[in-house]
Amino acid sequence: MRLKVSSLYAALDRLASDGLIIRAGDETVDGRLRRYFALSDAGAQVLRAEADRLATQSRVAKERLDARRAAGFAGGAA
Amino acid sequence: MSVRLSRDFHRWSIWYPKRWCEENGAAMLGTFLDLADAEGRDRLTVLEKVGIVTGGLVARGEALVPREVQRLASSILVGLLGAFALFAGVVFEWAPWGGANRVVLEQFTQTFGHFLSPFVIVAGLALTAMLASVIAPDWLYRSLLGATIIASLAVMALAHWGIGQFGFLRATPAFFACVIALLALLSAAPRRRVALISAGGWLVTFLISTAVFGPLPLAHVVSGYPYGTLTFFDAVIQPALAYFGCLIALLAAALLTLIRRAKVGAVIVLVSIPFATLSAAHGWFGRDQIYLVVLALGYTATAAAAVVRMTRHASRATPPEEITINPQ
Repeated sequence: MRLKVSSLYAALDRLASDGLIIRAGDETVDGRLRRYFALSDAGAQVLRAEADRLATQSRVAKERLDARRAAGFAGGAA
Repeated sequence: MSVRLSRDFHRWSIWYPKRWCEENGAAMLGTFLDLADAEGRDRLTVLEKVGIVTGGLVARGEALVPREVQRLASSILVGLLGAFALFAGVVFEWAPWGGANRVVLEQFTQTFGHFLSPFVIVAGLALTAMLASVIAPDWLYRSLLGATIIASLAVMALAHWGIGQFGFLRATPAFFACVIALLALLSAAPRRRVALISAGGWLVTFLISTAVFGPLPLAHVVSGYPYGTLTFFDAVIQPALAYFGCLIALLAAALLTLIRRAKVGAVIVLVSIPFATLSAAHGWFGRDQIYLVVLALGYTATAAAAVVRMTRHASRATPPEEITINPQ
């Protein structure tokens, strides 16, 4: 997935206004400004919940794939 | 190599609000330059320019109406859209209970399956959009809102040109659905729980409104009195009720703005827009243009309250150089 720069900054703006990230300083490298962000406590909590949700979905998908293989559907049109 | 891209960026970044550029412009330019270096180019690509334009317009929208306000307003509006679609689609277009639609069906030479008119497509899409706001990804929710707008416009066209019997007096409800869907589409994504609570709240409000202000007993309305969805605006939200409701809401919004509750006031103003346009259209076509004048005065009062609030806020802010520190 490739994120457009404008979409990146819009997303950063929204994450910051929702309190999920905070600005962690600016740095100038080769005459170019680099801005750093860090997860806030609220952001870490939301990220944890999202990671757990994805992990659950992944586990369910693997269980179903295992069940499919056990039922002898491998290679066939199930 | 970076000079051309910097020049490009400064030319295109005028789409963003000035304050946004001052705060984020340099960091954004740095990212564009890093990306261009990695790809060996010295200009912005067409896609990047399009991104700057759309991103700038979104940022300008958020500068005008804060995202928090947009989210709350769109949650309430999408709840209204779902409740209206369910109420109008079932009670007024289908009315399965009582079978009293037989009275209506005798007057219609043509029906739309079990429904009175194709307005039920608008109702179905609107209801699905509301459900999508709760359980589906944002792109699907927005696509369904877009489809609701297109279907509403088609029904309005049918009503205007009177094709067959289908278009019979469906322009007003289609217009109402279209305005709500458009406002929700232009706003930030709604909050799921608030959208659900809003839908339930509006359904209860419709029932109370019918029972208290309606010209017919509630039982009569929900047992199939309807002559189609237009009846919704006679039995549930009468134009006069929408008009006075809007005025009261706008005055409340002005008052809230003055007492430092500007965000709540802004949400009220946004939610009032579909009802105000309904009243304005009714006033316009009913040649009762005082409706338009009084509504315009209501919005002007709210805008004036916002200006007063901003002026007070600006005069209270103390410039840093004027702050003195008490050594005690």
